Amino acid sequence: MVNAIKGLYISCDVPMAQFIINMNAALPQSQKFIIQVLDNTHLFVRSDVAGMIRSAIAEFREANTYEKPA
Amino acid sequence: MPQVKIVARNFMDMVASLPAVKLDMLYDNSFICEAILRSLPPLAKKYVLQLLYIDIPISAKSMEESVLPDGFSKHKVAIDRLIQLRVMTETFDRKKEAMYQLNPKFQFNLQKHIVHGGVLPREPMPSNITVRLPSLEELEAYAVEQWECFLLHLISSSEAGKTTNISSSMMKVFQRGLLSQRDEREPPRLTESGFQFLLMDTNAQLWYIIREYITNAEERGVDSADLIAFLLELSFHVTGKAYNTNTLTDIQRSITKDLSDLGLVKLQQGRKESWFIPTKLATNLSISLADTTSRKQGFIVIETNFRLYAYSTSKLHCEILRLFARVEYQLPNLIVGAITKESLYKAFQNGITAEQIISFLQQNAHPRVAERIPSVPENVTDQIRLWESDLNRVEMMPAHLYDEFPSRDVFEAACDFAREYGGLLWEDSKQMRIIVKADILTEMKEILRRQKQ
Repeated sequence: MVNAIKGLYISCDVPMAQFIINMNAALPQSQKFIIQVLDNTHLFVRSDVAGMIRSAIAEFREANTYEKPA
Repeated sequence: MPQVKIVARNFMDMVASLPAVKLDMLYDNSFICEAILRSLPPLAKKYVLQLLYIDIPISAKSMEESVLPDGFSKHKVAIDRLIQLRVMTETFDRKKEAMYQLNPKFQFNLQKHIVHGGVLPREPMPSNITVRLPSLEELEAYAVEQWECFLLHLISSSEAGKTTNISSSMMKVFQRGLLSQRDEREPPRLTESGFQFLLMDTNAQLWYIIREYITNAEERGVDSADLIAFLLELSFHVTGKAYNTNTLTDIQRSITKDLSDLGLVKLQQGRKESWFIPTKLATNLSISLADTTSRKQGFIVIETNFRLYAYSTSKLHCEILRLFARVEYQLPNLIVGAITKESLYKAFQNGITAEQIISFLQQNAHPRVAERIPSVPENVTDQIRLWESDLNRVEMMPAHLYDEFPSRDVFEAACDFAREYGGLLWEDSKQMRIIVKADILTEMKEILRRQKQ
């Protein structure tokens, strides 16, 4: 019987894929969200984590900037 | 440059979209007849003049006879336009053949206009009453100042120093679509179309505002046909001449008050009389927008180190720059800023795209750098685009992963089906797994059920 799993198909560049994989690895077993690592630049994850991944990336991006005080 | 969403159609398209009864009312005014005639395409003008002194319907066939085969599309456009504006009416005779006749009101008024010439309902006032009329330059400066003040109010009411008399409800109407407010406490933000609005040239902006003003006329208890008639009439007045306000009706007087806030007219008061002076903005109103592509002089210089110098005294320019750049200091005629990653992220969050920013910078390049190619340094434009794409590094799409196919045949069939629908995202033929877009889940289920049987 064919089995269908609902999820999110993510395509991104290699560093971003690594970032997401690393994020997944840091979580406890019960909260892991990657269903399948398809290849270097494609992942298949649980469908409810879109917001979490985006905010983590935004946080990562902001950690790399410095705004000169006015 | 992305497609501008705010369509700046011209005045006549608006007139054409009026209901028939309103249009007939408009044609009572011979100035409107003339304005309509002016706005027509050349061939349509010819037809109107041809039919002007003919009182009986003319068959469509006889008009087509003089049309060369390759001019037929132009003929069609002209006829359609005339019918759309109800300048010409189409009737069918007993043999079901199309006959054309000019709108009798329009015809009568235009005949009168040709023979007697146009006489405005009001004459310019003699110069011994209006002592201190502004010169044309002063008037132009006044119009620009009023308009900028209005725009400044539009995008951020707190920044504008001078107050306008436009009621806040009117302002809300203008701001609709240009600004969005996510939260009551938060100040409203400029939307994507708002930014595009600021990038348009003055005539297009003016037209957008006037269109909003007209479409909301009914809510204010002003008949939109009256308003259009008055605005068209206004465009026939002479720039810089004074006209007495006591020639206006009450409604027109309140309209001129609004228009003076937009810089279309200047109101002045003498000892006894008061008068209004139309500015260039008003007289340009009925000109179709395509004709007026006057380039404004640019003011922005950008260096390869992302520093931005804007030679401008205008607060409005400063506000526009603030949308995507970090303004560091302001001198009386110079704004100095820098384009930073943070300032751009703020702009991107507000829905402004990198392309819009770049084209704004290019269009407003200072004459000194405008002759250079490229006018904005390449490393800056590239970096702006890179920063934008940096925001979209991860793409997510709802999908379903299918595995445990019973046989290779079923797998292949499912694969082909998904590919046909353009929904196949990824496949692994060794382990027989595929990922398919979520939108065709029901179709996939159906095909798999059929395979099983």
